[in-house]
Amino acid sequence: MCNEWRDNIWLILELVVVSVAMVVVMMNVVCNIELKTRPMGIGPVDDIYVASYSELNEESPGYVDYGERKAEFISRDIRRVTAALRRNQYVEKAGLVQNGIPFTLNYIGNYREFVVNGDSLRYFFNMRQMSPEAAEILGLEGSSGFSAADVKAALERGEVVISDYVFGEEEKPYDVRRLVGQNYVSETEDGVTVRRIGAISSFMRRFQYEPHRNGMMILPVNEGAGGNLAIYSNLVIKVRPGTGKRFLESLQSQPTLASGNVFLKTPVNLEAKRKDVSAKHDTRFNLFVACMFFLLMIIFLGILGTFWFRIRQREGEIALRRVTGATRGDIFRRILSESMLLLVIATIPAILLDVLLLYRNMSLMNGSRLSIQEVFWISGALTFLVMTLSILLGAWFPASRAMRIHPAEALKEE
Amino acid sequence: MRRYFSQIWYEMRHQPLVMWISVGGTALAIFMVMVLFTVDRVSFVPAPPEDNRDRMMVGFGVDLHFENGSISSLLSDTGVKKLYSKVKGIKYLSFTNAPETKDVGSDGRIVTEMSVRGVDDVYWKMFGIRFQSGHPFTAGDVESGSRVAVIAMSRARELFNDDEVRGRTIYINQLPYRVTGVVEDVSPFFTFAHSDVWVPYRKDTPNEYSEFVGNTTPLMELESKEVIPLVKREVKARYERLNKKLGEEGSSLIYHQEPFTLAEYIGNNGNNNDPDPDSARMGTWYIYAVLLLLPAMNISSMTRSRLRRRVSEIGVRRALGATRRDILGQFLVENLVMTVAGTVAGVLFSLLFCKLYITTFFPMENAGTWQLIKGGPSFSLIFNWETLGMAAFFCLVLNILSTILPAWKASRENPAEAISGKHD
Repeated sequence: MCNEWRDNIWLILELVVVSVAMVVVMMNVVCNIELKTRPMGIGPVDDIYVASYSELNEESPGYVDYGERKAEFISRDIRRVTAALRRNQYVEKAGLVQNGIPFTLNYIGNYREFVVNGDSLRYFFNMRQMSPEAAEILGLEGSSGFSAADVKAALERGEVVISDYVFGEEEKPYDVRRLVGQNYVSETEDGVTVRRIGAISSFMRRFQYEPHRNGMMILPVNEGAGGNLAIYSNLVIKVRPGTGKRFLESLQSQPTLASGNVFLKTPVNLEAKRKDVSAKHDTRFNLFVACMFFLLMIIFLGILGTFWFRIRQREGEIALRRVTGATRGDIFRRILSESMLLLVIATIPAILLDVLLLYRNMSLMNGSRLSIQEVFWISGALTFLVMTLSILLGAWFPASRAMRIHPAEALKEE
Repeated sequence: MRRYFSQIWYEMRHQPLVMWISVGGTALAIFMVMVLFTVDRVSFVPAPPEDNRDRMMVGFGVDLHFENGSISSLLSDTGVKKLYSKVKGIKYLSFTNAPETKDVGSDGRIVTEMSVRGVDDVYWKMFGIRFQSGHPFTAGDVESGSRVAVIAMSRARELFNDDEVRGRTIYINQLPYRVTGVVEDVSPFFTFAHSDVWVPYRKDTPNEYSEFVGNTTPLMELESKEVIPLVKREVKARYERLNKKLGEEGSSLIYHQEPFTLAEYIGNNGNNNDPDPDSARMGTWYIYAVLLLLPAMNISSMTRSRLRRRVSEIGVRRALGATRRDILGQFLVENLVMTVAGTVAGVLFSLLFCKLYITTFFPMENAGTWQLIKGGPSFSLIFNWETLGMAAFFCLVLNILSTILPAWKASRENPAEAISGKHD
């Protein structure tokens, strides 16, 4: 092996460059995978559709002027349109939400200060509103000892649901369960409303790559006669499994669902919304994965070509070894060991370079909740693993060839 | 040249794997670089209907500072006139409203969201958007605020199950619009020509803070791309003149090198920043360098091994009078032939990939819109003389990087030692 020191230095240099580049790429991939696979806080969305309401413009034909009773009539019209939609043969369930659709980037930020046993607990949250049916359709999960059924039941009782969330000081985080049973007071134009915090749900992330994590508060939407329904509400619709296309066709084959000035827009599949909102991040992720594949291919080809050549040049030496008692397995293992030794030698300067360049480089974290040290060492280990595989694969073919060399023929040529 | 091919053919027969690895490695590197290059360029290479992309400029907005604050916004029509009207070198100045998502439906049936762009009559002269039937709206329609619209063919079918919808009524945000024309679909790759529906440009209502603040995006087609610096200079001078007057009122317009070229516009993060396409370009070139350097190291290592087997041949050639330059040239050209073969394969694969899967890497704003694209980007968008030139450049760089060192080393072999086999 020492006889080929020039080629080996060349290969080691290449392995060092590749492994540094690979660790950068791998850190991005690891952080993105951690973000993508983190629970969304809801169930599968394949058979779920979302539709929004809209109202006729004053200049529109058919517009009805409701005067000062506009809010009342809009609520009535929304209830009628929703009831008509529920009668569709493909619809299993439907429920109303406000700022409660996953995979939309809306954010209504707020915070409340609760005083519990003398402690002042400040809870930051994204304000959402949901009917109990909507929570059930979305598969909103319970948390901290509460089940999905508890979450639905709390909303049915008109209580507030909050999400699990580590808040308070970093060293001494508060347990979100301390807030259950507290009163949430909201002031609107209609007056002051006091609601009890009744259950804890999982945090519903807005999209798969969202690094940001804080609390979520869900106020109940009352679809009943006394409830005030806003035109910017959305309807989440669960259709019977696999009937999404027929559901849309059934809507398109009849006049738009409407009542008074309110009408329902064409529903959109929630899975399509998920793809939409993640599209930009997905392309970036794809690019990193492609770069990783490219780097591995380069190593594979480099090792394959170099060792193939090397075996041809060392046919005589290999034949001599065979003659002096080396088995085919010995030859095979020797070639693989040589390639692995190169990787081990390259790994030492590569780790030093990686530590120097990347160990504190927070820009590679993309908001992952893993620590930079965790990401660094996981990425380093994965890089070593995939490079090992790539190198072994690259050396496998030349090693197999070396194993098949017939000693007599090789020595005759010498 | 025949000698080179004979030599390559000989090596292909005797060392097929190594030759295929060299060509395959080159193809892979060129493929990767060309895909990234094409994806990067798709947003601003000239191609129909935006044939004028290289001489197109955009007024990004306005950054207005007061004593107690500032406003960043799109421009008003008054602001556009003051900054860009009658600037020497501008052939067309079009007033447009940025596309908005609106409810669009036909009479009592489908209501869905579509992208609606407000444009004036000049807009239709700037872009080669092809009409299937009907015609664009006129300056009179824009001036009077008529409710007329032009619609993309696939969207017309979606609403009416029919191509011929000229004269029919569509409802945009519940208001009736008469369709004056149906156009061929424009791919979302074209930032300014793409839309689902086009309606007459809506003039700005006076803003309470400033006459410059509004909802207008001015698009400009220049007489040629050479006048870009001239236009920028003239606009800068107008900013200075306006600021003299505004200064008396305690406000000022901050100049951010507007109007922007398409490359500047796409890379800009907001109208409070000067465009900086050079930084992004540098980053991209670093990536190209890594993508070329690594395969070059591989190929170089293999070239070195190949040449080592030909040391005796080098010795004989040198003994027969070949100069070092001859030897160096021979190996450079031999390798160039293989690099060209790899480059051709890499470019062809990259074109095929971009045609079929460009959205794998293209940063899309809205995946739903992209699902409407049938057949991927047009050929002219992914392949042009510049792409070909870059492929040739990358090919040459790869060849030099991978061959120069082993070839130089081979050319310096001592003939006597080379023939006797005494060499490194």
